[in-house]
Amino acid sequence: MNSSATGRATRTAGWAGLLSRVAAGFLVYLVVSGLPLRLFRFSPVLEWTVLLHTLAGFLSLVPIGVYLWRHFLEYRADALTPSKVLGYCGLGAVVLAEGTGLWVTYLALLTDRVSPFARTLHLVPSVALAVLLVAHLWPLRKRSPAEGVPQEAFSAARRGYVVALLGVPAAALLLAFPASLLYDGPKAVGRFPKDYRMPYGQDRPFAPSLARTDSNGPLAPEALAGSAACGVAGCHPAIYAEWAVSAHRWSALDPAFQRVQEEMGKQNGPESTRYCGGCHDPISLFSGAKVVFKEKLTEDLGFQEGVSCLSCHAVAKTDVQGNANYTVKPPKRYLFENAKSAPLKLASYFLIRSYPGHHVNSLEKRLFKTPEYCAACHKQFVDQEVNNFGWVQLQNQYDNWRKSKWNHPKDAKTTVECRECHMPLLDGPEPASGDTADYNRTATDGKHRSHRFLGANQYMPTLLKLEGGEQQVDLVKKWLKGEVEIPEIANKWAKGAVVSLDLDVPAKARRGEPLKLRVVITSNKVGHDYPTGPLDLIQSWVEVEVKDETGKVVFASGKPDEKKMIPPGTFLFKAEPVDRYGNLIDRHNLWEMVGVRYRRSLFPGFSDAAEYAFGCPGTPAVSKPSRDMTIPAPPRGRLDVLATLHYRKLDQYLVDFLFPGKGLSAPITDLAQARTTVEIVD
Amino acid sequence: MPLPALKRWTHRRVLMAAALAALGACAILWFTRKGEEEPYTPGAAVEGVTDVLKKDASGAGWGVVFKDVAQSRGIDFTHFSGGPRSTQLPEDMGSGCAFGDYDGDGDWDLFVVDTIGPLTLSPGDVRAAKGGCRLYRNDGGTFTDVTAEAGLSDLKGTYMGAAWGDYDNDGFPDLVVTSYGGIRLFHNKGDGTFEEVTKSSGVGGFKGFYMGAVWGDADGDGLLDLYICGYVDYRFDPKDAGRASKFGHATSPFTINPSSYAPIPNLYFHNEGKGRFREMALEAGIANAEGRSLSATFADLNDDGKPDIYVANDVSEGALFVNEGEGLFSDRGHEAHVADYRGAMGIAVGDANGDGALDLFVTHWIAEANALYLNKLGGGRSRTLDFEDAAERTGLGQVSTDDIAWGTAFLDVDGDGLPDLVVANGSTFEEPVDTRKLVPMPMRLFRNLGEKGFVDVAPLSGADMTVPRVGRGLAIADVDGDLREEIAVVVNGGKLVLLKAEGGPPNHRIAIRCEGRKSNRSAFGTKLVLEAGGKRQIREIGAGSSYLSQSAPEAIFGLGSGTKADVLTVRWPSGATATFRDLAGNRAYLVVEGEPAPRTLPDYRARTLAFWDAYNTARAAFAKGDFAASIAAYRRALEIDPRHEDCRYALGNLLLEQGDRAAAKAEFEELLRIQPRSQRGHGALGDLLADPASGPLRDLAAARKHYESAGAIYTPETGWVVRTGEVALATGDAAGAGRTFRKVLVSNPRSFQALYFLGYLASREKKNDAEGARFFDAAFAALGPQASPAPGEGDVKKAEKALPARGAFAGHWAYLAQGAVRMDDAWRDLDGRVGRGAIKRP
Repeated sequence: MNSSATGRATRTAGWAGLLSRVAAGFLVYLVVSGLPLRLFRFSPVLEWTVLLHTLAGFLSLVPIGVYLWRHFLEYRADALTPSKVLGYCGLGAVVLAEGTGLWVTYLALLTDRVSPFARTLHLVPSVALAVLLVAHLWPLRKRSPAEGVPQEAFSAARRGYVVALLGVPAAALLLAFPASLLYDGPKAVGRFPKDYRMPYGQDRPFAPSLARTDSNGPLAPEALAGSAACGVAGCHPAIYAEWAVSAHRWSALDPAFQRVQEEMGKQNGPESTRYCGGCHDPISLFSGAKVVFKEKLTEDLGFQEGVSCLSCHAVAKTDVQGNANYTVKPPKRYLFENAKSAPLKLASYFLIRSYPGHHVNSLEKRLFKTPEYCAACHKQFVDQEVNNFGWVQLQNQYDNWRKSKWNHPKDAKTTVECRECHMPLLDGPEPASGDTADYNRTATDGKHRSHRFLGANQYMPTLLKLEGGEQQVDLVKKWLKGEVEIPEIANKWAKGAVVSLDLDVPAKARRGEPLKLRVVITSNKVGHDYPTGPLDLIQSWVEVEVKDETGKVVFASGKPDEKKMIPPGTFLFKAEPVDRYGNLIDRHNLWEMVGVRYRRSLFPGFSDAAEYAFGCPGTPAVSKPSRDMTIPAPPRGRLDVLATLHYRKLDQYLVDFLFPGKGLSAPITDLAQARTTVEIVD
Repeated sequence: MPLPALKRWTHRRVLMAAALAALGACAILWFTRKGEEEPYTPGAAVEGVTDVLKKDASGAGWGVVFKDVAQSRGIDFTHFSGGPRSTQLPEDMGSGCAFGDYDGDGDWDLFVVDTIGPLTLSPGDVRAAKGGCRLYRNDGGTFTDVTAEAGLSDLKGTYMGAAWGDYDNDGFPDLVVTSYGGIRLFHNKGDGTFEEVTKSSGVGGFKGFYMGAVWGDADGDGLLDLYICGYVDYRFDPKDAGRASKFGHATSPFTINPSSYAPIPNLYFHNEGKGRFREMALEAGIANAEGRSLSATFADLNDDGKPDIYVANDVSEGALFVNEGEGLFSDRGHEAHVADYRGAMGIAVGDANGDGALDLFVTHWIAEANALYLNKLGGGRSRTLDFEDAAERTGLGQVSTDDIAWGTAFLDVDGDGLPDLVVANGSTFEEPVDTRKLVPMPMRLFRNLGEKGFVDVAPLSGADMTVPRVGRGLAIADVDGDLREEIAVVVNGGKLVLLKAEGGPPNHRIAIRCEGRKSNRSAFGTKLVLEAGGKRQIREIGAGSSYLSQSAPEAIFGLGSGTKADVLTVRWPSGATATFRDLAGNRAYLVVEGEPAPRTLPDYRARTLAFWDAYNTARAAFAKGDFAASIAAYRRALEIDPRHEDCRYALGNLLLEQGDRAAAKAEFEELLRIQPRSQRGHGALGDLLADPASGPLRDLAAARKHYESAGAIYTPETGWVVRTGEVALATGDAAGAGRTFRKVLVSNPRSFQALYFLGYLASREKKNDAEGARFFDAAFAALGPQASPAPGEGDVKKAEKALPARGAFAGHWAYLAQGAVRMDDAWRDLDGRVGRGAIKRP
């Protein structure tokens, strides 16, 4: 037997050997299980394929490594044939594919993301490998049995090889199907409790809220909950931390909301509180928690998460009508997404990071940039269904903004939209950083939009004793005073105070004669009305204090009394809603509201004036309130005039009503002050 | 093959094999390495230690979650709010609570006993303190503090226990309250108020440290007698402060150790009729002078139709007094094996093992297992009254050795027909870091698994059940009529807890209340035997006194998956028996002695749904303009829930619009009685009283008062200011009216009335018609839509706001509403309506 014949025999035994078959089977499986991830839509079958692919990748390292090493040694001395060149290329591809596979696995398991680059780097050698594998193995089909090897044994070996090469991988590939039949991820569909009634029609299970689900059926509470997982997985910790102290997070946790809901349930019927649920408490609304015979109208997950991550990110459609007119379509969750055990949770994070297409596509929509999207909840009305009377507009930040100087359709250079102020860009490592679709941003800006949603509630975060609540309150106060800078819109937003005050007083006044004092309040930075709703419970008012040189107060207006109540006759931004009999809506009982006695708020860029001297109203529009003020004799010298614009989130009556005997009071923030002096002359 | 190549090949193979072998060896060493043994930690699980009595809580088929609804149901009670403890025994013992229907409206009201604060408080401090015992009236499941209006505000001090009992059989339960000091008795007058009869009744002359109080008809004369537990002769001696003493197995401050003080006798007040009681404990043989008594219960343990008494004594033997008839008792504690030396606190009475005899469950101090005394008369295991403490083998013993247990009750939480047990725990030890506080402990909820005994399912029943508290008194009652008992727990130095069960298996239940005629009206001592689904369950109304507390005298039976009770047998204390068959489940019944059939009590679920149906019908009829139907439906709704504010307000307004002013006035007044801070109630009533069309009902001064009350409630509002301006004008006070309307305009520059009347005053007072006209026009301009570049809050689809319609000038608004009215005509019409005071007329 010559040496080449011996070599062939050995080689023949090599390809027919177990190691060769195992290695080839793994290679084929890895290639064919990797490609569908790129080719087909997200499904549990593919998720199982990802898990099996990863497992197979690990398991294949040793057999493929050993086989290739031996194969390399075996053929190293041979002449460089085309097949050998292909073999070397293939070897390179295998090494690259396995190497990048390990890298991708590492990234998906232990970091916050797998970059598209890494995924591509894993994909390219894999695809190349597929081609090279076919080309490299193609000549083998014509191989004949080695000398001394019976044809039958050879055929059997070849059949065995083909089975290992194609059959086993195919079977492994199909394994994902039964696996997905056994478990295909958390279910979004829920069940209404047996007492669930639909007083507004069987086709409107969530009415009088306009919110609905894509199936028009109930959701499991978990379908929209689980926000903590978005933050603790090391993926979006910054966004999660911002959201966790934001008003969206405590929209249901808010004790004032809970008490009003409780009162509404008691007075107007538990089912009618669905009206509030669409925006304040969507998880409870969609899981059917707002029913008669339920002790708490808020479900536990809904209570904790309020407007959770998914409550917004699962919205598929919104309508500019407001009143929660949106449709939520809960995304198909990844396998084990709601699992409690750490390994299964890790598996779900692994899937999201390694196979993020579905995560991104289902949770990031162009819709989210639009003010119309925010309008679904930031525009509200009651109608016949709620107040048994007729349509009344309630708070409406959207239309205020839409008609204001901040909105110039199709001109990004001059338009300032909701997210630009309330979700300014922040630095920090975030998988969600970069956005080419947003005109303030680029793909590599390294920034994300803040999910603090800074607004005007400087009360609840500390009342609720939230972690980070004090910081949130400080930021809200800065926000209210106009001390928050937003560099990306600096060229199109106003500077300075949010609302400015100017004092219009004569430099000199004659003793004993009426002094006219005018406080001009101007909306400077606000994107919608200031203050904005609900104006039945929000108060912003002007306090004026005039002192003589001895420090004696000679005139005062708008100073809260010892019960923290604002005295009658104060210049006050708010609304006085009334019921059909002309009595005040004083407990946020919007279900009885039919209109307002008056509404006083500042449209963006507009001014209002508080005048503290009475004259005959030459202007019937009477936008200038008045009050007598006569300088008493004998103050001499100068009068010190101080005007302050105060703001608080909840009026004292409501706080007392909702939390009797607790001694609570909403904190007051001063947005602006103006001071001047008047010289008194004879 | 050339040799060197082969050699190279062989060398490589050898090298590779060696490398692999080395790797393999390393791997074997790594995987088979033996680490250092972890050091032993006290309390850590160690192999070889077993605990056969410990049962894992089985959650199968449970699913009940308890939530604390005290706050949301209107009970905000803080015990011991007057300052930190001063380490004296009486401070740590209280307090209890008692459920009873004091106002006869069918739902269980709650009296909560308070220890106001440390004994070091001066009488002045006590008077000034915010705390005190509280009476909460229940209205369909929500509570209102009515202590003051019931006349019970002066119960401030170191009060301990309370019990309701209708001693004069007038249908309204009376109230006894015990304290470190004495006993007080309050007669329920039936009108929502109480009259103290401590002295006149004869219970007042006893000074001492009195704990549990129980009512029962000891001698079968149809009148409730009263048994009071005397604890110890506690007197503070400054030299005892700081001393330590042995307390059971532990050392504790001398002044909070009951062993440091001598016991005092119990009291038995025999009801002599006509509101008089005579103390005759010694004569009856139940003074138990050697026992430091905390709780006692009447219960017919030997089933002879006469109530016996079991007394739970702290650090002294428990006593069982068997009723021998004629008001005489004999102590059978020892022979019946219940004269237990352990520190006993609370008592529950029920048939724990379903053998047809009443068993006793007694709660104990730490390291002393609670006792479950199974009555051996059940199943004929004994011919004489005898008990076996089965706590250990039923799973109630070992687990409770960590607890200091107090209030307790049998209740069928899951409705499976087996009575479960709830126990309130809380230490008597001081917190090591802060000795002003006592150590809190979690509650226990023992699920009855029948043959398998009991298992603690508290950890499965929600955080509100397991949060550690310094629990003391405990009482149960179905406060909202859903046929499931709520559990009230008084927390020493903390907030009262009201635990409501939600969820669990979909089992059915039936509730039975009893009212005696020949027997005592409270029906204490009435024995109920209920047969359903092949099971026999027994209860005795009024038995089981928990700790310093009293549960509602209502028996709620679980029917499992069955929907009816096959047979209910009632044996009255008078000896009469009655049998009822096929009672539908999911209902509450009232069995009245002598009546042929039980009365059906309103079903909570049906009642709730009926309320909303009536209310929604009323609103729908109103929207359609069918006012008569609307009024009728509102009235139906209010019959079900007389305290519903929106309903009352809507009905009042509707009656007013329909011209029935007297009825409307009554509704508004009722609204203000229910809710004195109803701003709209004051506004609506003020409008009615100010309107000249109200004829004899018109009362401008009263109207002004209501407007001012509305203003005091919500100061910055302009509506009440406008209305006081109108009253000023109606009484002829032009200057006052002018000032008031100008004040309105500061806040609300669009106030129609303010502008309109200022115009009138300009024309009439200043004789300036030009100015008058400007105001007149401004007023009507203000009725138009509020100019705004965008839709704003309060905008309506209608172009104009309506004219005002009510109040002192309702007639004038009606005149204006007829159509376009010229200013001169308008002013002339007003001339006839303003007050005949100082206002100048042309």
